[in-house]
Order: sequence, then structure tokens, then C-alpha cells
Amino acid sequence: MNVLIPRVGVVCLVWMSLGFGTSGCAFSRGDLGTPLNDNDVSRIQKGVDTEKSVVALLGPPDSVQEINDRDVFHYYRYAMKHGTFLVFSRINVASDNLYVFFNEEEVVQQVLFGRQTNNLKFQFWPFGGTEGS
Amino acid sequence: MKLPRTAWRIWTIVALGIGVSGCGPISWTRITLNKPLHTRDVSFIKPGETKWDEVTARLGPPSELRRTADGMSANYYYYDSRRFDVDFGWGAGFFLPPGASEAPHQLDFTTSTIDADTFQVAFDQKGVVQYGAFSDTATAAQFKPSPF
Repeated sequence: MNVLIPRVGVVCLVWMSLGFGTSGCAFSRGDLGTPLNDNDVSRIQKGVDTEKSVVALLGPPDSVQEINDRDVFHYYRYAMKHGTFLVFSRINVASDNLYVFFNEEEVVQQVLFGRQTNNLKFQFWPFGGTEGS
Repeated sequence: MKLPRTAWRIWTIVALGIGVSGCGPISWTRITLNKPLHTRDVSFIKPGETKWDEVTARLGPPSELRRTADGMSANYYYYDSRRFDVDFGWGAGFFLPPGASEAPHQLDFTTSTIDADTFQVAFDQKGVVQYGAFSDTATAAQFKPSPF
């Protein structure tokens, strides 16, 4: 028994070492959609720009919704940052969302923009809070 | 039931995330999408009082906006998954004799927990909150060593 325990321990250690040794280190990044330019977004003027001019500035929206009989353009972008170190992996995903609300005359009524991809981090440690995304 | 486009996007990204994660004999993998909203973050929302501008000023733009019969609903998505994987048979490949080591000897234990939350706020046509509620899976994501 005294001999068996160290032997099992050694086997476990060898197994773990091989496991750690053959795992790698990797960082990768993925993006879905075109990044939204802050300058372009800030150029949209409420009460002035129309659907046509917004499309000319930002391109066609990713989706168009009709809410309360008015059009809403939605532009979005997703970003992913992935890190692997030995046996630990973490993948953080965040999105930027831009909504442009138009009135009945198809003139911009409200611009709502939120950027979360700026704070996205490369991480590998999978434990703890969600500060990376 | 047909999944909305946003849900498809999210699941595609999650699937890609799992695909690029490590695949050694033992691994801990975590995937998060957006930041979680807590009850305290949305406690300012009072049905019949709070307006669209105040909600978006404090919570930011929603992940998805949907038309409803009498207004719209804003959905804020959050996803957190934790996956633990261990292959107890992996080490056998080093000890089995040539030929036998090519035979399948995988003994894989995987546990995965997912915490997928949506905070949904419904607005009437005047942009006043009708309700705000979480629809979560009630499963706090955590790493579990055993699938049994």
C-alpha cells in the first residue's frame, strides 16, 4: 500500500504534466459586422438627416424595424476575444449597437449608440467575475 | 418555435467560441457575452412612470428591439457558460502497446452550465415602461467536476 500510493501519485503527476505540457497557448479574435465609426455616428443630426442620408453615411442597416409606425435602423457589431493558456480558456464577446429612430417624415428623431467592444479584454483565466466583457 | 435573428447570431458566436477553445485532456472554458444586469441595476424602473429615455440613458442601447402590439420591447442579453472537460483515457495512449494505442481509449467527462439571462422592458406607444423583468434560466453557471 505504501508503495502503491506514491506510484499512483507519480502516475497522476506524469499524466497531469503531460496534459499541461501538450496544451498550448493561443489568442484569437473574431469580428462580426463592420466597426461603427464614432465620427460618422456623431455626424448624424437629429431633425436634419433622413433615412437616405443615414444610409449614405453608414451604409444599409443590419435590420430595419417598424415600431409605432416609424422606422428604426439597427446597426450592430460583435467582437470576440479568446485566450487559452495551458488548460484554461476564456472567450469574451461584446456588441456595439446603434439605433437610429425616424419620425413619420423619415427624419432622424433619436440616435442611440452604445459601444461595449472597446472594453473587451483578452483573458484566459475562466474563474471569477465577468469584468472582461 | 422560430428563433429570432439575434438569438441565432448569439448562438453562432457561442458555437464558434467553443470551437476555438482548448481541447487538451483537461480544460476549463468560460464564455461570456455582454455584462450581466442585476436587480439593483434596474431597480429604478417603475412601470407606468419610467420612460424610454431614462432606461436607455442608464442601461445603454438594448441588444434587440422588437415591435409589440402596443409599443415595443427592449431586450438586454447576457450569457455566461462554464465548461469543464477531462479525458481520463488520454494518458492511456502513452502506455498502451503500439497498435492498441490507436484503438479508441477516450473516457471523457464534460460538464457545462449556462446562465442565459434576458432583461426585457416593454414600452407603450408613448415610451412609458409597461413592465421590466428578467427571464433567466435560474442556473448559475459554475464549473462542476462530475457529470453525475
